[in-house]
Amino acid sequence: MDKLHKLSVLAESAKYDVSCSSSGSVSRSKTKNSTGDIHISGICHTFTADGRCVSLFKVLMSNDCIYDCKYCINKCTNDIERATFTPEEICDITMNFYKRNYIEGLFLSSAIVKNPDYTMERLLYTVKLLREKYEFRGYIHLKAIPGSDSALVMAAGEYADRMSSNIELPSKESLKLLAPQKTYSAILSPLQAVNQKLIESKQDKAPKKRLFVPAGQSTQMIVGASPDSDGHIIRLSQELYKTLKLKRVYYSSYIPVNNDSLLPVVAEPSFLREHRIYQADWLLRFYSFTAEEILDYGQNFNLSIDPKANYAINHLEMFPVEVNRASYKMLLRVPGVGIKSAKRIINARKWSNLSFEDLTKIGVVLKRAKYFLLCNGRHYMGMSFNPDNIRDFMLMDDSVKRKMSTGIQLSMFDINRNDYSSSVTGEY
Amino acid sequence: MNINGGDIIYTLIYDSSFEGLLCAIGAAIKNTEKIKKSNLMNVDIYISSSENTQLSCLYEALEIKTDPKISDKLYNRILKRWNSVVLQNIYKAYLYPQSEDLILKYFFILMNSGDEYFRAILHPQLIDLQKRINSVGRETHRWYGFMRFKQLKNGIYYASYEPEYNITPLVMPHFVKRFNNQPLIVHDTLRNYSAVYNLEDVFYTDSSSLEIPEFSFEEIEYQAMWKKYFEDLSIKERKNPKLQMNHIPKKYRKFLTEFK
Repeated sequence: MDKLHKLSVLAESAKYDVSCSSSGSVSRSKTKNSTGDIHISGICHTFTADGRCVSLFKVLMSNDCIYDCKYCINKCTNDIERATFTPEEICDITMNFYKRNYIEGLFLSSAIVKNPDYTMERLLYTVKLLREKYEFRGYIHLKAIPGSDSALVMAAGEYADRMSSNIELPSKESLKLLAPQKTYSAILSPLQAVNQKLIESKQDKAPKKRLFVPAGQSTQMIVGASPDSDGHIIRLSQELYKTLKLKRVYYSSYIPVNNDSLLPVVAEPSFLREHRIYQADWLLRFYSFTAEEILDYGQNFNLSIDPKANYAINHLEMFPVEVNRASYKMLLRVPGVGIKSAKRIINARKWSNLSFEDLTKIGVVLKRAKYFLLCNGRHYMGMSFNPDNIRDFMLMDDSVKRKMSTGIQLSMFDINRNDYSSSVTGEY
Repeated sequence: MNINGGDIIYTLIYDSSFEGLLCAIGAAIKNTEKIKKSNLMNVDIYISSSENTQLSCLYEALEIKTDPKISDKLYNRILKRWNSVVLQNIYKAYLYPQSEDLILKYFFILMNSGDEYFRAILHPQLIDLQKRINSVGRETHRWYGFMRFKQLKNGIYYASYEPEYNITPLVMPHFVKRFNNQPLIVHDTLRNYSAVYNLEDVFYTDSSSLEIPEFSFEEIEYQAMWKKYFEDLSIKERKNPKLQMNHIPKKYRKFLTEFK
């Protein structure tokens, strides 16, 4: 099989991994013959027809899997074409794509070939080769293979910028049903081991330490292949952020690629549900909300209103807030005020008292925010604060209606676009 | 100098180079301080590049000679008193057409802001300048991603592009840093202006007569792989051309291998 054909097979199998972030890492020391660098906010190099960014050369080392996970296109019982790259082939394509500025680096994953240790060994060998022989200094995201020896995972951490281990499904029960050969403990153990080492190396004050997974860890789960509720999912994410200090949890709406009686029958993947979960995820990471504030356990998101607006109309007693005095945290709770707007308000009010006109000038969009804000004790255009009207308006918001009717995938899905502004908002 | 009811208005004309702009700023600051001391009420100084200046009898035009000694001095003072972010802001603003007066205003606000200088750019009077700087910054960042180098028969990696602003001096250091062992040419075909890296130095040059050799054999092979990879990567069930268009507008596409 020639390189081009192998690439086609192994890209096809890799594309369901969502993460494409290339941000938040640290430059490695260079030599005369080294190639590459990292960029702190990450760089998007192109966008595919589904609107997703391409930052990394995302590919599987092999799709020749011994496992039989029901939802996965690469499961061993599927009759698909199988291919395996040699480490040299992966390095060669990565280097040549990189030199032409197609990519920021490599995202290398693999199906389980032979057994977890063998697979992890091959991955480790590949990234080592890329760093040492090819002297590559760009970004590397490496998948840790669940169930492999943690010594292999730790060794790989010296070469990778980011590592990840996908928890696949939002609960142990669902995992057991749909991915019987995987267990939560096998998936979580590499994440825990790497996190432990990251904590230790933070305490280590030696001036010249070796880099170890400098861009942190992430994970991914499928939404909609199992009956787990949104309330459950965001509690799980909160826990992952807290205890394992993950940089990101990615969610992918279940797309049926296989037929199996254990899998749900879905006519259309729910990209809007996925979008609502991402919005809640942002509230957890940047807006200091807790999962408990966002949604009750066992509940699912109301698809017609975003989680922050939903919180506001259920807590109208907290509003309106005075623009010139409100805390940063409180400003962030106002629908229509994001991180950038809140920061702009805090900065601008140091120079002078702000009116609604000033807010527009500094780029705060008032369409939704006007109902929840006071400037110098006054409502926008003398409007009165009428809870019923506000509820009606928020539920009728036409942008929401539009999204509802088309059910399209929304731009929040795209991860790297948010990484763009990381220098301002720290989003990665 | 014209005197209109106590106001002094004059325009400094510079040669449209960055060094020239720094000299004009230096002159504007010096004169403002001098006039303020001599009891005259108001002074309005404008700066304009020789490319944009229209003659008017309402103000006096003073031509500023570009003197590398003066511009170097101010350049180093900016770095010493403030920092490289301030210098980058000024350079990006310089690339945005007709921003000289806003840059001068930025200077006066910087001079009065003491230790809080890094916040000066957020001043309410500089919102427009901030937007312009962001616009140049955004265009630069996009080309960090969208530039496509093609390996030529002679081993040089060549990229052509048409940026909205004259950002070649901003993008080139980024590529030299990561491709330090590849000879590079970045060619702005709109302005016929090129940056060349020969593994040792970078120089900038007019390139209206640049002749581009053929692609290397390898180049054609990797272009084909990249195109195929790009197609395979898209998830059909999630097709969303509108979102794709938002992220990568048409004007960039003719330079991108994967859209050809």
